[in-house]
Amino acid sequence: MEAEKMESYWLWLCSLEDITAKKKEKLLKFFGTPMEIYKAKRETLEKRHILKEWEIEKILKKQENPYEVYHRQKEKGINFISREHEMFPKRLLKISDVPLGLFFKGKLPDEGKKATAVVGARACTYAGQALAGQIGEELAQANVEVISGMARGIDGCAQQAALNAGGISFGILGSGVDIVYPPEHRDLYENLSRAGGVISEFPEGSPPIGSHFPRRNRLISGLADFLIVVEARERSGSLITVDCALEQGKDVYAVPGRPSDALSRGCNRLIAQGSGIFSSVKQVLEEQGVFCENIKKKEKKQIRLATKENMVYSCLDLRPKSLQQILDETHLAFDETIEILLGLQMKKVILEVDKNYYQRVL
Amino acid sequence: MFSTSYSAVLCGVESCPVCVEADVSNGLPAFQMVGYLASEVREAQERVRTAIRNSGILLSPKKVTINLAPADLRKEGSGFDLPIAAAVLAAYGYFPEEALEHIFIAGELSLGGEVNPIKGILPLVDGAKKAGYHTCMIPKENEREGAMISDMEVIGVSDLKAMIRHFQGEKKIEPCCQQEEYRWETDTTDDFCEVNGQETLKRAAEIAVSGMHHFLMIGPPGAGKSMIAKRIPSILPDITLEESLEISKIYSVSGLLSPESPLLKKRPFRAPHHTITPQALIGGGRNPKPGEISLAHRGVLFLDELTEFQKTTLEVLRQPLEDKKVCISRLGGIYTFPADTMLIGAMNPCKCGYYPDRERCSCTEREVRRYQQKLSHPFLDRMDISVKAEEVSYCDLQAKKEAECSRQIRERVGQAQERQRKRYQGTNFMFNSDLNAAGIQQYCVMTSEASKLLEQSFEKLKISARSYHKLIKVAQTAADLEGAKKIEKRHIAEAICYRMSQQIY
Repeated sequence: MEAEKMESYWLWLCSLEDITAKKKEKLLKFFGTPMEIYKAKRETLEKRHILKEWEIEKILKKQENPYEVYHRQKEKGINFISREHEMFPKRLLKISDVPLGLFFKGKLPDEGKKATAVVGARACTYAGQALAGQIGEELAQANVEVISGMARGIDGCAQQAALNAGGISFGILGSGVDIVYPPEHRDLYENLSRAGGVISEFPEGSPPIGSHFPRRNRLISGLADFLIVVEARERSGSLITVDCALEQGKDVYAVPGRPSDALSRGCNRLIAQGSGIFSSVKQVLEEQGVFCENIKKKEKKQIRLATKENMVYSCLDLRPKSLQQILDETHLAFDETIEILLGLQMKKVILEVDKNYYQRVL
Repeated sequence: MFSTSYSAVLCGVESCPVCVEADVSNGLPAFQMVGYLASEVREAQERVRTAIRNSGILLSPKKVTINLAPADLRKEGSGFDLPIAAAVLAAYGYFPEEALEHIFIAGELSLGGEVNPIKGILPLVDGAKKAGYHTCMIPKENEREGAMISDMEVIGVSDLKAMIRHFQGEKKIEPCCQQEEYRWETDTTDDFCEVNGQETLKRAAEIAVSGMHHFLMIGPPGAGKSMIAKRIPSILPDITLEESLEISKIYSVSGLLSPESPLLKKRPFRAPHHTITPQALIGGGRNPKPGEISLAHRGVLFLDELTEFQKTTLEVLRQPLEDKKVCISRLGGIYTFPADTMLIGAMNPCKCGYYPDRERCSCTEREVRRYQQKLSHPFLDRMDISVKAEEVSYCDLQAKKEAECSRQIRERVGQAQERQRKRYQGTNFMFNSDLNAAGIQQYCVMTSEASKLLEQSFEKLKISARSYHKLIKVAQTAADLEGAKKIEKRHIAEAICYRMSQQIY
């Protein structure tokens, strides 16, 4: 009861919008506990010269009993945990700028399990998506939790694949945990809150504004033991996560790529600067000392194809190729080629990713 | 005295007969006109009176009443000047009123008594023929246009005096009855042999034209979408005289026919700019005029930069594309314009134009989706064939090999259309694209292999019922191009390749 009361004051402090985390820390340093801040008189607050007039007004304007708010949110399935709580993720306590508390739906990462962050570009290639999916799946098989930002592209692919493989994944949001952003990830959001969790340091109803995301990124790296970057442009938000991870002393693995690919430049630069090279999940896990015998070997697809089919198939790879390119490379007749392409699609070895663009299935 | 002359008013591209009655009686001098007249018709009295006076005839002051019957039909246009003048002069007794029987008259007068050309002569004369007239009197400048209608004695009149002398029997005007020697023209300015590479696009264009399927090209800027579209007229088959008359009527109403070539010699190709309004596209106005889709009747309507069109502009196309005609309802009645056209669209896949090439396109998925959502699903659903245009590679551009020229393609297209014509003789269908579900059942025969492939892909590729039918129609055209009796497996495969994919919607 007493502990819950304390938690509710923490929640109140966390929910105070427009007051920076820095100022909140200063207040805590002076008053000791959130409850003291809550009960502080105008004179005491003014004396310290930490807050501006309107900020003081905000603190003094008490709308609702924090305890009631705490329970109301709990009924909605939104849990809150302060950093003083014993269940607060230990990993986060080690980072600088520890969040005051976390709002979460579902559960929090298991302290006993390894956790990996998988991040990358939102506008990624199909090959990147496929790889992210594979990484997510294999991590799930190795019983490693997948931490990511629930964003479009790499993040979402890795998390969805991990969940599909029966694994556990956590989405760290740049908005309140009751807000689904991006909206097309509603399914993923629901799945995450069921098998894993959705976590945010921003209070209920906070919009996904730009300034939230860099702060969110430090939590992604903070909750993970190491980080895998799948695809990143030269100037990418994923690189902020990498910086945070390095500051927090965590290993970073980047997926190497061709120098000509815009989406590999970020990763290649990381490697040039000394990050680890990702070659397979197994390799990474072994380096990190994680037991990874459970990873199922991908059965080598025994694809038996006729000569011409083989010609078309071998001309395709993981990057989508247009019909015209295929025609140019194979020098086959038009009607023959499309018949073969359709046949390969039926065999599910290739995929039409966009109108008349084909790629292999991983 | 009382007399009647016969004329007509345009309703859309059809004409409705109008009787012009003139009565001259004693009473206070006046010139009265009745019969639901638009202001340009009401103004005719001033032109007619002055023109008659300036032709050297002094009308004695009497009460003149003009009635344009039927009274419930709104009379518009400037073609009533001449019949009114004829009826008035006959009523005054300047020539026997029997002279006006069995003759159709239309024309505009100037104050000096000259007869000016009017719009819509072709449908007017055609209407007159259908109403049972064998002679018509029209402005001299419209003479050649009117003479295009067979079995019609066309008298071209240049001024009022000539008309009077003609009716008085003093000096008969020679009818212009010789029909023009008609030579069909093909657009040869742009030829397909100038297009290097782009084999898929060319092939798709050939199939689209053969079956008159609506055709959509998606691709990056500079890939040659517009280039292909501009060359489509060069592979369109010749029009028949019947079709030409049909189209020329529409052009006549819009005033787009030149006196030198009163009949369209080739299929129309219309490419309106994307700032076009819905009214200009499908037709409209207080007294409706045909829009671009009707001007492209029996030809091609090319909409470049499809996504830049106003959404409402494109949506109004939906019904005309389905019904192959435009119905415009106005207070005065319902106007119908034919709109049997082949629609060709060209668009970029996203704002920058390079999607799905992620190396160059940095549009987010959402931007791509928003860009593509400028076109509604129902609209895209009407596209039978859609292809992705590729950027042309340097070696294709430099290829010494001469590409196939339009004449060769046109021959094949002609043969394919001939096969369809034979098959659909005596039915409402003209081309494969016109087929309905029952027609597909009846006419599209598949080999067992082909139907098996279709069945498989229906399930695996999640093809909707509507696109299933479209698929068969396109496959049928591919088979017709080849001269195959049945739809083979490869035709189905090709049609599947051309289907509107789910990615774009």
